[in-house]
Amino acid sequence: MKMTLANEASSLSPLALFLQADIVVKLVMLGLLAASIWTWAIIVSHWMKMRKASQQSAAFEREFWKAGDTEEFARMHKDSEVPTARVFQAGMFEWRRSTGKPNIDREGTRARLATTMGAAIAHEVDRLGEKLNILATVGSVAPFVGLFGTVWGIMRSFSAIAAQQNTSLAVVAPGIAEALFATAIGLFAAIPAVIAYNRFGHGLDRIEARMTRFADTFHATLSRELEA
Amino acid sequence: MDRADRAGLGVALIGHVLLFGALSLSLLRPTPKLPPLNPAIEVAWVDAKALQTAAPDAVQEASAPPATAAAPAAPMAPPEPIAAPPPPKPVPAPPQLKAVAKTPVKAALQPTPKPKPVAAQKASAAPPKKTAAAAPQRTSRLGGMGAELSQAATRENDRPGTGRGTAEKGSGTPAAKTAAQLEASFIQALFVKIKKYWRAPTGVDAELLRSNLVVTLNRDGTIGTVTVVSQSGENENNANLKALHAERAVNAVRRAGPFELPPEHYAIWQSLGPITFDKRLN
Repeated sequence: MKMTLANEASSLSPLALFLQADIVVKLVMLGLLAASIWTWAIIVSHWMKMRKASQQSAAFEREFWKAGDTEEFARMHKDSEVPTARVFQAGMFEWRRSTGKPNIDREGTRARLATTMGAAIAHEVDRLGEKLNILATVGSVAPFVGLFGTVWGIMRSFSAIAAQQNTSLAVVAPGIAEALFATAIGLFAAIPAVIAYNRFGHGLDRIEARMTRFADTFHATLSRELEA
Repeated sequence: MDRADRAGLGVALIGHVLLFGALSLSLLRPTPKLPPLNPAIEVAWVDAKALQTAAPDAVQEASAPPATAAAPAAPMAPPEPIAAPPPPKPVPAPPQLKAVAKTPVKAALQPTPKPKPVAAQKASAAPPKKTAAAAPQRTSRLGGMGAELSQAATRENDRPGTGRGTAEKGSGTPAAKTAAQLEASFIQALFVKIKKYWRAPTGVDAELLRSNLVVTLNRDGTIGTVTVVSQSGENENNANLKALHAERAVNAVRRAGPFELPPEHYAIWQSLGPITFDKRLN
C-alpha cells in the first residue's frame, strides 16, 4: 500500500497528490482550487467590464462634446449603462429639478449638481470595483491557507515516522510532497489575484479620474447655463 | 451574474480543467535520466597485501603452459605456422612475439609488450645447450598466449569498456593475487556489516588505538573464533581504553555475524585477517 502511494506521488500528478492527502489537506486544496477558479472568473469578467466601460465612456464623451442640444442628447442616452452616461444623467436629473422651479437658487444648484455627480461617480466606481476586494482577500489569505495545509500534512508525515519507527525518506517523502502541494495551490491562487488586484485598482483609478474630469467640465457647462 | 461574469467563470473553469489535465497526464512527468557521460570504471578493492603479491609469478606462469590451448589457436592465429618449426636459436623469438602480438585485434595489444622483454631476456640468458629443449616449450607458450589473446579480443568485442579486466584475465593472472584480492573483498564485505555495530570508544587519544583481529569462520558463515592478535597506537592517555577497544571490536564482529560469503571460496575466508579496527573502520 505504502509503496504504490509512493510511486504515485513520484509521478507528481496533481490527482495522485490530491487523492492520497489527508482529509484536512484535501479540504484546504479544494477550497484553494475554488478560490483560484473564482479569482480567474473575476479577473476575466472584470477585465471585460473595464475594457467595455472605458471604451464606451470615451465614445460617449466624444459624442457629448460633439452634440449640440444637451436635452436632446440626454433623451437619447436615457437608459445607457455607460458609467459616464450615468454621471451625466444624474447631473441632468438634478439640473431639471433645480431649474424647474420659478426661483432658481444658483449657489444651491451648483452645490447640488456637484454633490449628485460626485455621488454618481462614487456609485459607478463601487459598481465596477465591487469584486476587487475578493481578489485582495484571496491574494492575501490563500498563501496562509496553503501553508496551513502544508503544516498539517507535514505533521501527519512526522506522526507516520513515529508510528512506523522508520526514519527513511521513503516514509516521509510522499506525505511532504502532498503537503507542499497545498502551498503550491495557495500560491497558484494568490499570485494572479495580487497581480490582478493591483492592475485593476490602477485601471479603476483611471476610470474614476476620467469620470471626475467629465463631471467637472459638465458642471462648469451647467454652471455657465445658470448665469445666463 | 451578467454576461461578463458567466464568460469569466466559464473561461476560468475551462482553464483550470485544462491545466489540471495537462499536469495529471504527461507534462510534468519526470524527465528521463540522461545517460552518464563517462562509461563506468571497474574498481576493485585491493589491500596492501594484494599489491605486494600482484607481480606476475614467472615460475607459476611457466609451470602452467596452456598446451591444450595451442591446438585451437592454430586456425585463429595466422603466424602460428611460422612459430611451429622450432628455431634452433633464441634470436628469432622476439619477431615471433611481435607477430603474434600484432595479429589479434589491436585493442588487445596493451598487455603484450610486458611479457615480451622478459621472454627475450630469459631466452638470451638461457645457455645455448638448452635452446633446443627450451624452444618448443616457448613456442607452445607463445601459441597459448596467442590463443588467450585472441580469446581476450573476442571477449573484448562482446563487452567494450572492460578491456583491462579481460586482458588481465587473458594473460593468466597468478592465483596468489586472486586469493589476496578475494580476501580483501571478503574483508570489505564483512566491514559493511560490522560497521553497523562498531562504535569506537571515545576519550583522550582514543582515535589512535588500533586493534588487529583474526576472525575464523565456519562453513555456514557463522563466526568461529575472534582473536585479538595485536594492538597499536597506545600511549599513557589511552592505555585505559585499550581493553575496551579490543572488547568492542570483538563484540562488533560477533554481533555482525553470521556472514554470507561464497561457499566455493571457503578456503580463503575460513580465516580472515588480521583486520585492523580503527576509529572509522574502512
